Amino acid sequence: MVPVLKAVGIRLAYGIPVFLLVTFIVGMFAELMPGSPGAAILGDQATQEAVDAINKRFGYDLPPFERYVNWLAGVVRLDFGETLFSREPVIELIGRRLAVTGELALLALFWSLVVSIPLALIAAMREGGIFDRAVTAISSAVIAIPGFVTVVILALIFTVTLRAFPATGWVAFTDDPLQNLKYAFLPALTLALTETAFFYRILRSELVGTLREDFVLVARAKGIPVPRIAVRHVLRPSFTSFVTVLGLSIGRLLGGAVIVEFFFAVPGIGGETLLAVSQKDMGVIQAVVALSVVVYVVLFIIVDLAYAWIDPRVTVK
Amino acid sequence: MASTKKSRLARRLIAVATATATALALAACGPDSGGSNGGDAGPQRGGSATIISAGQVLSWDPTVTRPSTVPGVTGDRFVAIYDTLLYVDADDIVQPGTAESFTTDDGGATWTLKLHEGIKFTDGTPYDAEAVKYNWDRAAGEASVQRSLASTFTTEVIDELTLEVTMVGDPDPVLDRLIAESMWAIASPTALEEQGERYTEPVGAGPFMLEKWDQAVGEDMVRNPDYWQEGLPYLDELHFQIIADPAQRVSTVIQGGADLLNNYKFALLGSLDAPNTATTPFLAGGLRTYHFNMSSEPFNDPRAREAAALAMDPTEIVQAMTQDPEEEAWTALFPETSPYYQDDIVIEQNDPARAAELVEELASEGKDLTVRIVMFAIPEATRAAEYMQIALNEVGFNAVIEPVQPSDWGTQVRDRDDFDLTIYPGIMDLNNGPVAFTNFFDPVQVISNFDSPEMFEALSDVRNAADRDELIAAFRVVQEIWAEERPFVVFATDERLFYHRDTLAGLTFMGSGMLYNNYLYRTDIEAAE
Repeated sequence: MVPVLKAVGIRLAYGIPVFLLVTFIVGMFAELMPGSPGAAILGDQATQEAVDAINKRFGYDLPPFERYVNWLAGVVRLDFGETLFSREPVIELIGRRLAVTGELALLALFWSLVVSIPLALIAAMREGGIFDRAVTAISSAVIAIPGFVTVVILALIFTVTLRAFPATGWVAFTDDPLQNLKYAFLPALTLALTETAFFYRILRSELVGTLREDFVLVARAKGIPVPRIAVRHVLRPSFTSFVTVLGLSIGRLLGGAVIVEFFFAVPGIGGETLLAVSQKDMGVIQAVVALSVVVYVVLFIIVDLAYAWIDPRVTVK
Repeated sequence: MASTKKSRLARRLIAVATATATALALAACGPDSGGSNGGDAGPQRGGSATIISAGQVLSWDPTVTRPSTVPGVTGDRFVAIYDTLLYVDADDIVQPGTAESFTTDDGGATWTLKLHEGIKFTDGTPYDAEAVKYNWDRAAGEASVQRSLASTFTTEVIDELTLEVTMVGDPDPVLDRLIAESMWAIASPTALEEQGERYTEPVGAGPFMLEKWDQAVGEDMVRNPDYWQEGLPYLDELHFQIIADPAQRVSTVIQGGADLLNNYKFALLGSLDAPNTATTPFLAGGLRTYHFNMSSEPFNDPRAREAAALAMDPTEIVQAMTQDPEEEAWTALFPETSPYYQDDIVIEQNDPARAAELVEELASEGKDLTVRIVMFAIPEATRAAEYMQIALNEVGFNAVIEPVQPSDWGTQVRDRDDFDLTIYPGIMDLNNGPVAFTNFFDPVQVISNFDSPEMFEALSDVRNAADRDELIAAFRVVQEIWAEERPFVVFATDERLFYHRDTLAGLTFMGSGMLYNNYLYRTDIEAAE
């Protein structure tokens, strides 16, 4: 247990310079964006004096480095500041958006796993067969179709033609669980499609390799049915690459699926980030970036630990 | 100082000129021009409506957010919460709202504001002269979006319902119009004081009260039971939903997820016959334009501007933009219905052979013929820009397209003059004259860097015109200078539509197309007891 804790501690320590570097770079790059909060508020007809006055009013007149240091000092106290216009604590806003994005990510992940693992198992067991070829071809097509096309196709089918699900909007789970699932269905399905295809391809490839191992031949020689071999003995050792992809996938989903959230008007992290960039709301932009760094650092730690769990030969250093 | 005075004068000139110019164009938009609704038995109390918006309310503080009077943006929400002190009606006449009157007896040197008796903010405090004074004094603050107007006058409370306004400088005969267009939202001073910078629970005297606000999602509002206009509003709830994707806005109305949106007609062409929906047009009479940067090569040379206009076919531009093969071009500065329209004054377009000759002439003089077309990175502008690029290159220019994010267009084009040719984003609303004409002819704001003393003088003549004939003559000179100098080219007009569920009625608009949302009602609910 102690080596594991030590390994986690070391990895977290490695995460600190990554956090500083990424947030600093983003903060400085954001300075290169044209315009300012004052210009965003006043519009394109404002005089420079009025823009400067608004910037001063919102504390945007300080040098970029000084603003970054102030922001960092706040982060240490878990104070991410306030949003530029609504003056809401950024941490509350991010928490609210993360709840939405997190729900979509969980649903998408759940559906992806539930669909991709059995499909990969069946396809691997019937390698080269019609089922394998068909599912592999479909998965290639799904991966090849860009997200902005997928959302339009799904919206056309489910909202315009079938009118089965709402075209846009969001109802919080705490307000109405059933309505919440109804509103979450299409965005989650859109996200799940691509993830499912990725998971399927990675896992199938790993399973095919594992099924060719000697221990599988021995198990088959013993007369153990192939499905049982696959589930009991092949699945776990085939998870090594899959876990890495899974970790990246979770990070990507939690980072905010911008296109999906924009299209379905879902108030998640992705949409908030877009809004923050257009408003030059640095507090929110920095908080989202910080969140992404933390999510990825934690995920990589979990993935490293998962390797050791999957393969006892691997030790965590 | 001189430029400030000039700019102020320009604003007044522009306001007077456009006020009169727009009356005819707007005559079709009467206050009862609501949508056709089958089975409409008249206004019913109750129910709710959801209006789709494209933009967020950044702040509820009227000194931070300029409450745009363009429908579907922030103004509709501000009207719901604050009501309007004054407004411009669909006949382009300034009308009192929460004010009983706003008058001047001395040509605009002093104004007297009288308020309706008994109006209260939703926090119970009085909507009186002190409240208006407090709001206008705040509006004159350094970091206020309303400073340019609010700092031109001082106020004095005469009695509970009367406020006297004195101009600091020159008399302003159109102050009522300027107030009606940009400083009509009055917030509760108590709420502003108590909430300070974190003004997230707005308190006004409007027909609705804010119940829930999520900047990225929209607003939930409930009926103000103590609204000063008895019997109004009809709806119990009003919701604003922000949907960024244009196609999804339409899908949401078709599906019944929302009740109303507004858009340009061309953007709705494919959805006009969807079941259970209706459209209500409002004739904004806007112009679609592209602008030259007159401060740098190649368009600092009038021949280059002439060549560019001649290189392009306005019909092709507007059809590329709207993807509507029926769409026709329009090239004059005023609509045909306007008394100021002059059919002999247009900027000649679509003569590529002549354009090629001019370009050759410029090339022989060693002029830089690179044309950077800066436009909003949106599909319709991209299509138009692509056509322009082809047409300009065909006559010898070297045109390149530079898409910019909508939020950055103003910085790049207005602040940095970093463009050669740009498509004006959206349309120039004739019913929002002061803003539109300032864009074109005010030396401070003009996109094209068009600073013409002759134009300024011509606009002065517009202001001083004693009668309609003089006004027509003055506007003729304005158009002649425009056609001669070509700071911008008009290629089309456009109209907007309200696209809504056929169960929503009472669509009544102000001059800008903004809705009086207190008149909205549903036709699919039982009559109130």
